Amino acid sequence: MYSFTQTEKRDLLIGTTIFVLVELSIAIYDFNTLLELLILSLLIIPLWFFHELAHKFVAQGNGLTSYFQLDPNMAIVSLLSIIPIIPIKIIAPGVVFSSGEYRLDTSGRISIAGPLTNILLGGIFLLFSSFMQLDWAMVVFLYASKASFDLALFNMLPFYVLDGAKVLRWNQAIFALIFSLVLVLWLFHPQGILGGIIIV
Amino acid sequence: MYKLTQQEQIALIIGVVSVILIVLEILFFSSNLMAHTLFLGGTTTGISLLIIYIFVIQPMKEQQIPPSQYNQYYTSPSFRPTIIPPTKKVKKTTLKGSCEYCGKKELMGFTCSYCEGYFCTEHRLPEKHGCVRMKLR
Repeated sequence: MYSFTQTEKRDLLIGTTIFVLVELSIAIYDFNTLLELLILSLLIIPLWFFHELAHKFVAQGNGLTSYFQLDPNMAIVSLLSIIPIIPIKIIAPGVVFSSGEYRLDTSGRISIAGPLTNILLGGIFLLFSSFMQLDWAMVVFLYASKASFDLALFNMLPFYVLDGAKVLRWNQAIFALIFSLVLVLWLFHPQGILGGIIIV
Repeated sequence: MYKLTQQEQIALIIGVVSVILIVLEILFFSSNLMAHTLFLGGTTTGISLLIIYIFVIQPMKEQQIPPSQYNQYYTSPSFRPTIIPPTKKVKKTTLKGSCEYCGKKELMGFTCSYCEGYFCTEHRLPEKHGCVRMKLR
């Protein structure tokens, strides 16, 4: 069955904590009360956690050995991003390693699982936000969905070892679809760069 | 290039149509915030579930690997590496250097957790650089 090593469980816990703290270092400028920040923290925990687990489980489901491992260099860079005044935030405390013999399409499928999980969670949070009666609750859910699309878009960039590069190597049409979907959602999200322009 | 199956092609078309619908909704019908978020959330959830099922879950099911064999099964019977997950953290950290496998200069490369060598993005995995710490069955 899906298995975890003790080191991996600890690394996942540290990684999730770093992710939540970095996100909160951005959110403290938009939220005033502790309750809002607390609920936001609970909502953003699954964004990064499920993203990494999706990669791991799909890899294991395809017969590969897969585990999450904290990258010491990137964990330090991510830790520095917790300081609120730092304008550019980097959240990449670790990476899921998959070993074994696999085809190009398996690598692509493992890679899209993470961003797709974030698109799904972002969509669910958007749905919840539309049902919220309280204004602050709606804003918290909208914020969490925007954070989810941020993560999906960053991971879908076709550079370096990011998921987007592997999906692009697998199939250009699938990359184009997922990248355009997440780009549209990120740009025109009610809290996105162009979201405020469209919604009057 | 990987050839898409018929189901994957249909999912791709549905995905493209959904993206077009989202753009049209944003441009012409997004004045009501509640209706806008409801449409955006519903469409996004639906399309992501469809893509996840067609491109990720279904191919995984077709491989028919029993859950008891997860982490043990490899597609080629001749190649069965066993990698022991690291028990302690690697102390050596490097940001710049040359790949020990191909010699390519790499900024922000990867330090192997097993042999502690420095490798480029292409050769970062143990089996890609013929890791000396990797045991072959």
